[in-house]
Amino acid sequence: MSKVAVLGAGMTKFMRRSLETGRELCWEAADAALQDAGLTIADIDCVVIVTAPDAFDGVHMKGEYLLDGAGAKGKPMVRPYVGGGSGVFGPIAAWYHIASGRYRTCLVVGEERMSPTQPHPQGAFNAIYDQFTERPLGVNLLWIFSLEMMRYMQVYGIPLETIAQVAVKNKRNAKDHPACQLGAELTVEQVIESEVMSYPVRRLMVSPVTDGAAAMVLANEEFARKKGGKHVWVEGVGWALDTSYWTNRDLCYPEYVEKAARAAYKMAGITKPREEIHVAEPYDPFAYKELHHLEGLMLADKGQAPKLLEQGYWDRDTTNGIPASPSGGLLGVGNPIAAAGLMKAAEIYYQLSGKAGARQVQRNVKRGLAQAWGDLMQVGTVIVMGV
Amino acid sequence: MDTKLRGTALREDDLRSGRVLTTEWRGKIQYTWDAGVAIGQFLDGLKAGKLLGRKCQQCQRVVIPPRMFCEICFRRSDEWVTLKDTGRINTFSVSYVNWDASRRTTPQVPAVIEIDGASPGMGILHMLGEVGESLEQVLASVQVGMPVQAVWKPAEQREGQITDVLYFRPVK
Amino acid sequence: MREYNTNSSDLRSVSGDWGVWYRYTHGVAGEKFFQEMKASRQLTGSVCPKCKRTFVPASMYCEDCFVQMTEYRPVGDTGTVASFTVLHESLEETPLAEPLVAAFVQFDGVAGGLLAPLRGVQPGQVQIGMKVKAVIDKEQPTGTIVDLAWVPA
Repeated sequence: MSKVAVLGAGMTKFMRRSLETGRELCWEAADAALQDAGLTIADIDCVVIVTAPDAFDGVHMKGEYLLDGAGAKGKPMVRPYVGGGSGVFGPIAAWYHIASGRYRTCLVVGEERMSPTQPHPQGAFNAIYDQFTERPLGVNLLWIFSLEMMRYMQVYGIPLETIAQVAVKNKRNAKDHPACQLGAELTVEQVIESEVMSYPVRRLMVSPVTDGAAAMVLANEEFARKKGGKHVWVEGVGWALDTSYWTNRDLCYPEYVEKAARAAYKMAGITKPREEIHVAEPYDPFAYKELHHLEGLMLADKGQAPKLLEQGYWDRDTTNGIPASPSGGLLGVGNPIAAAGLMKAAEIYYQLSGKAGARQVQRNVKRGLAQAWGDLMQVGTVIVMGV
Repeated sequence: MDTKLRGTALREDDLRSGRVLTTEWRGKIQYTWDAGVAIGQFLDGLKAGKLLGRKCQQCQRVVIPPRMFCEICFRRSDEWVTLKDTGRINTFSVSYVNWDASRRTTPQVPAVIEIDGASPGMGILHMLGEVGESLEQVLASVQVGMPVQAVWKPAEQREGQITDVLYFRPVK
Repeated sequence: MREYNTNSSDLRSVSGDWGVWYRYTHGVAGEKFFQEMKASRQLTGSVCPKCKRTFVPASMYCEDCFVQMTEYRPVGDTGTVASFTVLHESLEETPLAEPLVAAFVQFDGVAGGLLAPLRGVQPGQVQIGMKVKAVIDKEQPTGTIVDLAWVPA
């Protein structure tokens, strides 16, 4: 099995509504990633496109629709799909395309446009609920998050103020992210007093509706070494799904994230993740999810991530903790579903290669991870990178 | 990292005013879904005023919503079980937002309710009723772990739908 | 043993629809294409700086060279029918009052083409290779593809 390196990454601005079509966003991100890697499309052997439900862009067979903008014309292309987990699954798929020995290089493109859906993209999610046992109740996407958040808070006794701090932290971090249109300096009070959407979820705890694309170039060891320079390597990958019967499992803990993390850590030879992972990008579509996922990643004991947050353990400038979402995450930068996960994976690449600019974390980093989540709220995808 | 990223951000007004051209599509996308074996019978059970579960003899789980195969043992499940129509609140929420993101003046109170007679933690999604009309009232009346009881539509009004249970209310 | 229920009166089903509709922007290049069509009733292509080909409808990037195209040019209003089909039914499978000819038309020296209704000719008279002219609605243009139709040249 070949070792796999990340040679470059790129992305578009993350916007509430773009003029660009999905294909144009793909091209913009792909071109940026190729430039960062110092390569052209001719150097790319295969393409992985990740994009979440067709229902957002409103284009059927979205992978096929996007492909020429993703540089896939005439190339082997695949669109693996695990809902919101797809953004991190993209580089995982690129990894196995290359590690198998079949392809030298792979371009991953993640795209989402949520703005075309009317009256609101939230409505497209209704179809994830069971048409017999759930939809007739008058369901709403937010319910699953609010029910999970309530369970998590109740089981572990987590105050709302602590969860609000995730929104404050990430929106502040996002001010230094070039893709971010709306970074902000918020207070905990503003977050907990923002409009109740579905209690306990309040408006400022929810990531914004966004259009955007991101891309990444990966290559095998031989190709990377020929290019020269220091590289960021894929050290571990893992993914797992739990039952679609989401009301049958305890929502207080993401088992499937733990399973995915264990597989990634095992591959990377990591036995003490809290010591061996130096920076993390956990998926944060809602403020509480970051904490939920940090625990699933075993970077904190169950129910303990919030306490560590209060101690500054997950802050970007921590020197003895693990910076979490130094990018600003989905809460801060935006949530174009599949592109958001890929943006997080790209952030780990930037942090490990010292290219994160104003977002560069204080502590020394040699290994980091990105994690995404989604589908019917039951997939975990994890990628560990190192230098 | 490149700090000048591409992308042309628009405002809602650019589109609504027609300054930027758009194409609209309101396709008629309609479905008729078959209930399948398990849910078909589950719906019949609802019409008869019962909550039905399904048991797997291998792992001994009694599951609701019922399914003809056990997804853990990956084998056919074995028997129907009539469950109670009471349960405990595993979690709940107080929602002021509709499916299309429009706002509500009175909340809906969805909950995951662990049904008595099924395996521990075996919950279904349903609504809570008689718990108040405002956020404060609901938070005062509802706690995780609280026992609840189904309130059914009168038999002649039941249709074989999940809404044959109007809601679950606190056990007094 | 599997149970197959063949008694259709036992079958239960529920119907529903998608609920959401869509409002699409046309893109950087598409916006240029449709604005030109609306303002000057011209069809616009884009030129690749690398391979020098012109593409219609205008695109922001060349799909082969993968470079940005920033040069636009009109492709003229006369093209050739590359393929066509005659529709007799609507999307809802109801008969159309009159058959509709949908023609895919290409332009000389230009890659790509445009699909639009071909009017003013009997379906039986349509041939691949026939020359057609673009007619763009000037009464009530919508700035969308429905403004475009072909007539025999």
